Amino acid sequence: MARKTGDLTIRLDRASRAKIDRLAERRLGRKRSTGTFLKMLALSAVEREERASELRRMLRSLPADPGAAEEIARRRRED
Amino acid sequence: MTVIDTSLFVEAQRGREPARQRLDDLLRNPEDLAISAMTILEVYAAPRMSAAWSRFYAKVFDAVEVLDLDFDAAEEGARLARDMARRGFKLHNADAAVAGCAARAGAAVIVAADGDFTELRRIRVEYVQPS
Repeated sequence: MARKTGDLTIRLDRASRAKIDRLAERRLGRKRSTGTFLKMLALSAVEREERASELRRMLRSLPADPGAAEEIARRRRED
Repeated sequence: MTVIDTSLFVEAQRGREPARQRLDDLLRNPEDLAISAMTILEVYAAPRMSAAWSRFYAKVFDAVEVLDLDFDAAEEGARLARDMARRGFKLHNADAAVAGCAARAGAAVIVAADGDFTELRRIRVEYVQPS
């Protein structure tokens, strides 16, 4: 297996590239290079994944807090 | 869009495993999630929230879409509550606010651990048994 370099180059056929460029223009409201747009998409996917992982990690480590939970439940039944 | 009702957070905070598991599952895709502004009010009004849960809620509320309880959402919630009352069911004001926000935003589903929601019409409800 070939050793990976740090840089990444991808090949796109003309039709795929045109589709991506149209999507970029729709989403961003202006033209951006295909590479820049793809990089934005990929990085935002990574950020989303990191945010989701952090939330789930926090939830799993939280001890139960029945006192505060009961307080919220009681107040929402007062009307 | 999936709207998380306050009741799911409450049951998770109580330590009920089904609610925790469902919440954990939903948090895989925070960008598809929303809460009503009413949920923020209900949660932050609790006077004795632990610091750890406060931090968690702050992160969640920052990561998901927050649906405003504006005129249209309030009117929609009132309509849903009236419809239930005519059928002999009660929808508390907080629940009506959440349902109104969800209906107004065109949410696909409300995930709740509160049985009152199951009688709602015109909006799909996923009921998570507390235990």
